Amino acid sequence: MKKLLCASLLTLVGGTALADVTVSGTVAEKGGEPLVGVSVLLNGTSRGTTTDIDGNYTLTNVPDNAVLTFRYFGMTTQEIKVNGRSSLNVEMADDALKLDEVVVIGYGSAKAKDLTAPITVVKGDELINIPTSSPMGALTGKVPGVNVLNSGAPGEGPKVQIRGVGSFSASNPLYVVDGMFYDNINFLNNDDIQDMSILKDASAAAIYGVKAANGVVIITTKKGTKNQKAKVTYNGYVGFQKATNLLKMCNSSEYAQMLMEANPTAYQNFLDASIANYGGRMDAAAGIYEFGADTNWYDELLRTAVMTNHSLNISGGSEKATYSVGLSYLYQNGIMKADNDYNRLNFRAQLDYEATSWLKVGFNGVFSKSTQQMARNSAWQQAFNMPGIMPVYDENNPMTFPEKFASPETLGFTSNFYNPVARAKYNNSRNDNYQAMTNFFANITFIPGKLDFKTSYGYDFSSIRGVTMDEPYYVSEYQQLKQSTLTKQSTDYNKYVWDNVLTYRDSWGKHTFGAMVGYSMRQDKYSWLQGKANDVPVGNPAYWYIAQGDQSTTQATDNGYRYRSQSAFTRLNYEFDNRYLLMFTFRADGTSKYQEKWGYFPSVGGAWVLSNESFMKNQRWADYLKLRASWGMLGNDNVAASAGYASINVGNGASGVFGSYGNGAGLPVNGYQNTTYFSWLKWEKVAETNVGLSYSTLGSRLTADIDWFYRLTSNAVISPLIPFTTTSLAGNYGKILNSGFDVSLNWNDRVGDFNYYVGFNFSTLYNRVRSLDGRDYVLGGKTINKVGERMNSFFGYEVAGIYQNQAQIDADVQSGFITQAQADGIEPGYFRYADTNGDGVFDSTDRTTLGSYLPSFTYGINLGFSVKNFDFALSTYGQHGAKMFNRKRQLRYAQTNYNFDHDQYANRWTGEGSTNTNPSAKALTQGWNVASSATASNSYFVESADFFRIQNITLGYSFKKIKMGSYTLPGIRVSLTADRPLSIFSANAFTPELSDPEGWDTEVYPLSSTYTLGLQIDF
Amino acid sequence: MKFIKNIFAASAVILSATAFTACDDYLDIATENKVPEEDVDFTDISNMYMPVSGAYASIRTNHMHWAIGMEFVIRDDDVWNGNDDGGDFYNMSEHYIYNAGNWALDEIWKQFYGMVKICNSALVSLDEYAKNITSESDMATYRAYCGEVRIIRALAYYRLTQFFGDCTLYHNNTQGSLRRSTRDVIYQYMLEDLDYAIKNCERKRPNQMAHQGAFTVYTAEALAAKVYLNLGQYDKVKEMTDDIINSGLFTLYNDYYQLWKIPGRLCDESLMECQCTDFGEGTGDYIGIDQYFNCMMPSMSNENTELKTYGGWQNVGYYDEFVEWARNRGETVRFTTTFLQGGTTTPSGDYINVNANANNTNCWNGKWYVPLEQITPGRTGFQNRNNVRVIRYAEVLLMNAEAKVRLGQNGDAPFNEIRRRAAMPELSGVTIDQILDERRMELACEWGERYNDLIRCGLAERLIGSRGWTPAKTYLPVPSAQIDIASELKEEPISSLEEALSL
Repeated sequence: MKKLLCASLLTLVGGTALADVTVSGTVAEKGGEPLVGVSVLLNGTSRGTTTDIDGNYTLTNVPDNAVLTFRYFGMTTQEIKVNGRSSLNVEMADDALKLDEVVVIGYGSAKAKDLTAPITVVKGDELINIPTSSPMGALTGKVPGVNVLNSGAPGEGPKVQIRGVGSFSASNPLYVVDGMFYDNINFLNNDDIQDMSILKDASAAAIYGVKAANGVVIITTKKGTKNQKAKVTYNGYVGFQKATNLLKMCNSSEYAQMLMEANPTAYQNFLDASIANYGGRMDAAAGIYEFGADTNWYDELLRTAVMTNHSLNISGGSEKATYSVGLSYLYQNGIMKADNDYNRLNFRAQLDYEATSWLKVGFNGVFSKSTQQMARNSAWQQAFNMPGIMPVYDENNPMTFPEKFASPETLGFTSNFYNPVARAKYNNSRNDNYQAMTNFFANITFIPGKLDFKTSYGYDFSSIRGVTMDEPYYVSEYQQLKQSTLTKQSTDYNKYVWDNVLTYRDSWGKHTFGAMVGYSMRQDKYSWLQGKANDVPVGNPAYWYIAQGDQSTTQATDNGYRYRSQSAFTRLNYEFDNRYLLMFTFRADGTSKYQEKWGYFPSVGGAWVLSNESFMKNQRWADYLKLRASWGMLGNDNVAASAGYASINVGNGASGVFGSYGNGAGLPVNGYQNTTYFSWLKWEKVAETNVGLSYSTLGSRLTADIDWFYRLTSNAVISPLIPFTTTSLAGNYGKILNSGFDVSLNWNDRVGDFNYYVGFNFSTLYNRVRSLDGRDYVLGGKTINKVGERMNSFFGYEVAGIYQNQAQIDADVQSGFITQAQADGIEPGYFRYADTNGDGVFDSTDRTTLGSYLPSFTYGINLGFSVKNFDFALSTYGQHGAKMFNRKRQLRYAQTNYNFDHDQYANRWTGEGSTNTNPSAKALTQGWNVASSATASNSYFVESADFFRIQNITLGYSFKKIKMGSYTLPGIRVSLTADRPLSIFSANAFTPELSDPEGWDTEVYPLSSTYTLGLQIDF
Repeated sequence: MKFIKNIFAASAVILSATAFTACDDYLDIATENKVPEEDVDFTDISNMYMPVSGAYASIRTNHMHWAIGMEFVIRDDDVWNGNDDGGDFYNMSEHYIYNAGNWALDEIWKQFYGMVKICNSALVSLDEYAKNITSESDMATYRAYCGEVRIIRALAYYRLTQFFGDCTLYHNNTQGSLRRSTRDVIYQYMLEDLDYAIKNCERKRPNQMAHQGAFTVYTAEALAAKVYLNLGQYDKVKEMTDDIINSGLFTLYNDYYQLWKIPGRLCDESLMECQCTDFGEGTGDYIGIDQYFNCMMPSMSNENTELKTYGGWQNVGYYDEFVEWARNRGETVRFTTTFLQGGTTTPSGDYINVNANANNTNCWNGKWYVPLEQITPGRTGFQNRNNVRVIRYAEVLLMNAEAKVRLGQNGDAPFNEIRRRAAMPELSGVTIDQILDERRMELACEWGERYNDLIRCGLAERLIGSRGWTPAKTYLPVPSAQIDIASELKEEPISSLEEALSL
């Protein structure tokens, strides 16, 4: 077994035994190329070096009984005794299991082989070439159990869920960047990251206590390596983004047919108005529908947009110090044909220094500056609603300014219709973000190799300056702005964290023991200031000051919070003979946010490495097998501290006006409205059990990680409506279960020059509301939470079919299924709903859950190969079992003559026998079929959100050792990347990846395919 | 065990590093931007009007929801929703097809119960003040204030019965069961409230009140008279309206056109008005009800005023038949005031734009219209200044006339007062039919009065039956969204006040 664990070959060349020798040699891949940058360390000292461009190294003054450690990322670390040799050539082998890889865990690190919890590590190298503005976006499909939902808007980070959703409030994981806590890491560049550890289960995450309920992602920014010459690397790509899966709408002719079928008397005049103004002719009887205006609003709103990233890294180290500095620049233009884009400039520096043998100090910092010019997403919805019978521009429209946009009013449309292009263009809103994350640490060694104390202080300041300037315009009576309005916002976050950690490790014989105790204090401060004014001079951003506006309209308001917490935590781990592992953690968290201040979060974990047992010595079926089991408790403090409204409302809104007599102006008399709805909340609690195994076989070529998890959230905050009001009041009422399997299988092999890998990962999710504190259900505005059903399920009537003729309607009246009053509003072509409760009567009790936006199965395939100088990688991602609500379609309840999507036209019911699934044109304009309330709607509007996507294809070619005069360039790699080139789904949408956590499809910025040309230069 | 010693040593380092922050002191910080909620000081009697003022605010913020404004009027034979779009409002207006899942129906329920709850808690607050009152004059003030709040609560219940008939008696904000009671139980409860107000409020005209425009005994009597009219208790109608008329405080405002505009606000005809203000300033805050007016207004323009154009949502229109009927009656003053016809110019010089959609209405409600010239310079709509007239003396006169005729007496005197202002010839020996016609004209498009007349006088079958009205369509269904929250709403209504109060 052990020889398989260290599946490596070493070539030892004999030498003379001397007291101190100079050792040199070459390090190469097993049977292949020399390796550049392998670190060679003299054990027990801080001395060492790295291999040069030809894989050579030299180390002087090496004692002849010394041990050298050869370490290279992705390969098995080797410790080799010098035994007096002066030449030592080493072959390194791939470490398929990465057992010796150092994994960052909370407040420390551990070797992969010693873990008792499922922790997935993603290296920075895997993120660099993926064109995403936020590093988390590059993780799609890479880690089972981590669901990444991307947004198409420039600079907008993805929504990340780890192992389902266990909270009605916030489900984003905790990000710990170099010890500092964040809600997202959109300020980081993909190239700033050394590695990410994803702590999926409670036993690993419990060390972060009350913040950890949604999983934890620990990010370490780039660091230098000791004894390494300066390594200069440039990484960059340039490419373009293009919208895919364009949603096809009805053209003018199809729209006209739909309206004429639905109700000619109601709608013909709009069509006539289009013909009168923009040409065309229509004769419904003869089937002639020709329109001079036939605008495809999506075409008018979309464009191909540029995206580019450049980053430069310099890192290295001496015997006593390591350093890494970098800068990067990202630019992403938006695919909406309007002013919207994102750019970000990052600087980063890290320095660690061993001041004395017992004191090590270090500093690192990231400064990030970004500008996000926001798109107006309502234009996407309006492009869906506005029919094509109007051109974008109309020179004959006398009122419009500054641009000659066409007005829906010309066609007789009123308040629900807007010119989508004008909506997108008359928009100017941007945020400037400045963020500085800094961290200082000092490490004191009391007993070398055993007892260390580390204190670190992190400080983060981020500032967001927002400016929204709306300049006057006129498109129609319903789409205009008379006075300019300027809004400025200033948002500041100040955070500090002070961590003190004492670490002890020791071993006796076959026993290895580790202990960590720590204390942390933290403060999060937020302040927000907003000012507004009207009538600010337009034309030049230099005029955009509130002071320039109409002083009588200026307003200011502000808000803020300050939360403190302090925590004590410990971790004990014990290992016996590389076979039995035990871990225990405990955290006590105190927070100023809640009434109930202290929470306690324990966890335990154990593992058994079967393959190291003597009875496993002679079997062939497992090279490595470890069984793991763990349990832990977590908290979610991302819920408000209290709910309801102040027991007393005051101000103008709660004051009657008196004395508005004749021409006089009345005044409010101070009033109050006393409506006492208030509750103190506490954090949500999660208890999770995880059972899993790590396995490898067939010469470690096949590896598998399988985990089963069962996580139960209690005290989940949910807000039932107070009867007869629009107000809901939150309480810790819910219990939510998330359970499932995370599985990843990987195959790695080499055939001559041909290296290849194939990986498949999937996760299942069983999500159910377990209890609502005695209630059967809590109905929200969009979805229902019902005991025994999935969280946030869509709710409404199940469509059983389409009434094909009047006889069917009459028969349903006869049988008492529907009343005569209902039948009065029904015609053939309308929906017939299912009798889901089987009582023979159709009424509101027949509403049922219609699925939810949470997928029950997600999967990814990753494969790739390298041969000679070529490398290729492909990854896919898919989800299954999720539903989404087509709010775009359902909005027709508000305006019956909105445009239709092409599917509604092509599949419509046109007469008996034509279809039993899609309604007639007229039905789409009627409340029976299109209800105003989403929770009284029907299954026609609930669509499958399943999709399969080729997430990324990268093809690279490397030039190695390029001679440039006397200088040899170590390597250049050129790559072509297609990100999200292909998506397959059935929903009538641009994408099933929605920013709305409950799965409403409206105002969604389309996702795009991105094609880039990348360049990596190692200097 | 040297290492244990070292652990202790290191622990000492940590402890000394953290000793300066005692555990809970560090966490014990005040919540930002929240002054702790002070209890109301019930000993300060000078603030006793605050909960009352809050109850008045609820008329503005709850009662005057634009969709409810529409739903009041679109079911009679004179007014429709104005948009031939086949939507829920259209179906309700034209075909009496009610969709219990419609959001606007739910809005009616929530907004009026919102008022009821604000009033309930205002009365609880007033009782707290009362505990600290020592003088009899303060007690009288307390009772008068309670009366004002009860009038507002009765108004909310009146609206609920108007729309839903049977509905929940929500007598306590923490009430458990929300089962409905019959309309008559609600009426009984309302009349008790109004009776209290009649006994305790001030006998003044609202515009004479210290809080100018606040409700008085006469407001309560007018509202009670409306209830009695629906109950067919004409002697009580006569008693209530006689008392108002005999007070001599009320007169019809001379100019029917300006009655609805800025000059007519809180005039001597006004018994109940929802007040708004723009503080007389062209910019800055205003306290108004924008959408209520926007909803019903056409678009209009005037080259000679500071505000050149104004555009409403163009909902709610008069049927052509009704306009013709009014014209044939020889209406002049009320005709120009009531009807805003597209393509015409109002007496104030505003041109009403023709509705671009010929299938939609081209005649809107002139009563809510304010001429552009009356808008405070700087403001961009009239919605933030005009008051909403809720109960007028004209309605009192018409109820008085009807009660008298129903009781076999002569109703000519109050009736002809209305006719005179409208420049219509006086009649003698007026009949019920003539009174109903007069109500139809005088109260056109006001608060569903016409629909209520059709129902209470048994005219609905004849006049709107052809469009699908049946007795079963008298009231709207309980909104399904409310049944979702409180399933007991499906149960049979309670028919005794005592039982309803025991919930």
